[in-house]
Amino acid sequence: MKTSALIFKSIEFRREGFYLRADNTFPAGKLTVILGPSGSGKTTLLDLAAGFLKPDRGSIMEGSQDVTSLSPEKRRVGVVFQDNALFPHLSVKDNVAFGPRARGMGRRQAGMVADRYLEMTRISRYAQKKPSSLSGGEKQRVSLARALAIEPEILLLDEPFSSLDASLRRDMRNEVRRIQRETGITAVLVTHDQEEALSLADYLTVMRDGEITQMGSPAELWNFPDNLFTALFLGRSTRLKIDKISILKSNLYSVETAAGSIWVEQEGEIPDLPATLIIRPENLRVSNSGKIRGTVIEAEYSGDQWKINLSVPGNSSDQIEFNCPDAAAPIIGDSVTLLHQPGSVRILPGVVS
Amino acid sequence: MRYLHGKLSGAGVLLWPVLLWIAAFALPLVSVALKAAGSVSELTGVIQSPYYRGVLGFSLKQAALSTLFSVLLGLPGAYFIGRHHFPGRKILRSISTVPFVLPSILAVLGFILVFGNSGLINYIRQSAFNGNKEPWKILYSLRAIILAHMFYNFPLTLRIVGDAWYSLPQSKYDAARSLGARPVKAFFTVDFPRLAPAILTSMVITFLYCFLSFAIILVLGGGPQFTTLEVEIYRLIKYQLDFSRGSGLAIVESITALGLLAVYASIDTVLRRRTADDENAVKIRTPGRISGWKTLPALLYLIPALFLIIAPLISIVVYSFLNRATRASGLHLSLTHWRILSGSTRVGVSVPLKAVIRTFILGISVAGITTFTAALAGWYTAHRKGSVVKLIETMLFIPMGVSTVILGLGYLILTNSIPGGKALRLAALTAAHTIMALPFAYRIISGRLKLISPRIPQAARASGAGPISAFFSVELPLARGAIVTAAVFSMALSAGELNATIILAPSGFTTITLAIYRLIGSYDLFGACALGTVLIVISIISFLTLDKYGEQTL
Repeated sequence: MKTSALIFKSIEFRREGFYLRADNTFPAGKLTVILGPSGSGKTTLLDLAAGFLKPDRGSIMEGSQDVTSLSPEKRRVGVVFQDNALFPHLSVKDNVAFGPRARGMGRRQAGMVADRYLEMTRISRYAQKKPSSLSGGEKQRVSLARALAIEPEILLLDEPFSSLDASLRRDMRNEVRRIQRETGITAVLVTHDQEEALSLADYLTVMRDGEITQMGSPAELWNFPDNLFTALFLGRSTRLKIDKISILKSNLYSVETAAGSIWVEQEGEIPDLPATLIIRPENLRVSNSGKIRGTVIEAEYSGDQWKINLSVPGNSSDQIEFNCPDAAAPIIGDSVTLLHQPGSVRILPGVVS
Repeated sequence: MRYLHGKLSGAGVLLWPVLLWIAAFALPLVSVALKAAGSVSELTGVIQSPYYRGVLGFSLKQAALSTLFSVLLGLPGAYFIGRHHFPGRKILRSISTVPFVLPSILAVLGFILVFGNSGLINYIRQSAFNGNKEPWKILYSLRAIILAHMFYNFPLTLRIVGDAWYSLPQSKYDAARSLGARPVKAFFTVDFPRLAPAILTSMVITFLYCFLSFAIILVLGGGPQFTTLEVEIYRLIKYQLDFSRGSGLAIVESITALGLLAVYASIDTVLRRRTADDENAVKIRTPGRISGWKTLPALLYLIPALFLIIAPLISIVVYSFLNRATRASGLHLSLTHWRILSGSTRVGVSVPLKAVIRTFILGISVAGITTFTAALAGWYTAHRKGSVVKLIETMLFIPMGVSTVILGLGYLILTNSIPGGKALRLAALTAAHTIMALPFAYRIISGRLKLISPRIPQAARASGAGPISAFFSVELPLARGAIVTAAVFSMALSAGELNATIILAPSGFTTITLAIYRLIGSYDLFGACALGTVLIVISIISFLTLDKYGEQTL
């Protein structure tokens, strides 16, 4: 299957108080996940890529071809919709054969294409059924097969698992991953579920208020977020407002916060104040030699460990979050000191209001 | 929705619906208005004439009385349907749509068969008193008009108020009871205010139906003391060819009806504001069975109510298989009228058979044009928003509120100024029926198209289908049920229509309703019943398709 990158060049799109900007490349042959809260513009971005919406400015490229002015049927983009949007009056096979037929293929040949993709998505046995008799997971498989059957260069998936329950969701996730690797298609998947995003993505981007904030590998975004929104949206983390930063030596700083004075090792330029300190929970542990102090206000048992929240005297927007094994868990009201790795802490511009 | 590239793309499909609306609806009405405006002296003459004031007064009086009794008769039924379960509840609820699909000429015919001098009720009285009782004479009086309106319209209240009652949360009534209110008090303080908008709606619809009632008045009213504006306009234009005066009366009638609607809208706003924060029931509790002391009143109500709806229709069917050798002799089984209807006379195809054939040809044409037009408009409005959509929806709603006699008058004024004769009249008749059926067909089709997720046509587009191909391969098949319903309903509406038909049909062009009307006039009730039975079958088919597919959208 021929694949090309999906490129948004200086795209602007405005509708009733909503403003979307995008200037990104979704790499060829990779699965890119767009993560963001509802209303951040994820679906709009896909609608632009599919041609259901037209941008006010900028251009959309499939590889080297400018598709901005092409209507959806002229693009080679397969779409898997959130509500699957199967044609209820057609059988499963006819749903999948619809695309090849619409693109001028003969009946028999389209049927063979459909069979191939029904097999790939492992639903051949339902070929003659109507969509209404299938379960949610099976419907999404049909929807996937239908999108692939036009042999698109780009596959768009709009929250494809959101209507499935937890275990089905994991199966379908693996299916999508497998099929994307098998076909080597350029895929863009939209979700608000970060576990899904982290486990699926070759590349991950976080979207906020119509803007893509950062794009990179999941580990990059997790460990080295370059903005506060990404850091806070992706997983739990400790956040402390910075009162003062002093340089100790190159790349090593001492940072004053209400929870104590903390050493930070960070390469590159350090942002000016106002700024916030971010630490992932797994990089904190209880220790008497720790520099970070707080009082336990919440302790939530999650089976293998406790999730502990500390409050910091003097600053209500500060929050410390860390995980603690069962045996050593403090209880609400305890004062705790925490030890951190200086290299696992990030100073990011801005403060949480 | 906002999808599919801008507001006006695809607006080309609106060309036909808009042209049709202008030519077949706006133009005739404007010509009526111009005619009336052209002779202001005629208009003032009409307003000042004691005779026409009397006609207006009678129109209002009979409508008010009919409404009062229809609603009173319907309310207990609404209570039973809304708050109770009983065997036959579903059937009763379903057949309460009968007035929507039953042609008024059949209501008249059924009424005569049940309440007439030698009708069912008199027959029962005669048998009970061994024939020693004077027959009960009710036809051709105000009482007859009111009774006929009542039997025709009370199911409206039954349905509208009954449905509202059903969706009203019982919990609030229960709360009032637990706080110490007696049932009657709890009803009047808690349930009634929230039912008021539904009761008002059913009253206004009934009033308008009665105010604009035509066939019932025409047949049962008789003489000049029992005439309404609608019938008077018809007489003026049909027999006196006085279009100016007819137009003047049409203006008076329209203003009265519109004024009533305006009053209704403002009262309705007030009533709804009072209950604005009233949410629908989270979970509709299954109503209890009728039991205890309520059983007797329920039986006393429900059985006669069912009888009132069904007996006239059954009488029509039964009478079509009967005959009387002479006026004085008894009834006997006979297929005479069906034989005449099936066309086996010596002089070729019989008049009734011709009427059936013409009705079908006319009805099928109307169904085709109406469905096509409604589908175009529905496709445009289904997934778009904005002022154009609102305008189209309003345009397609207005014809519901316009009297068909006035529409017919408009066509007469127009066609009189164009030479063309019979063909032109037929075209006008088809157009009038199309305009009448269009609001219903549009609501049925667009209601279904709106239920299709906008993602489904998009999925077709992404698969490679162009907009037109996506419509034909995906949206149209999905809306097939609605399209069939709209076509059948339009066909039935055309088949049952009398008002515009009696005005516009060229001489020699007899439809089923016209034939029934004439047969009633010549006291050939059995012949009327045979044709009536054909019309009932058409209505039942329409009713069943509507009951299956279109119920929520009407």
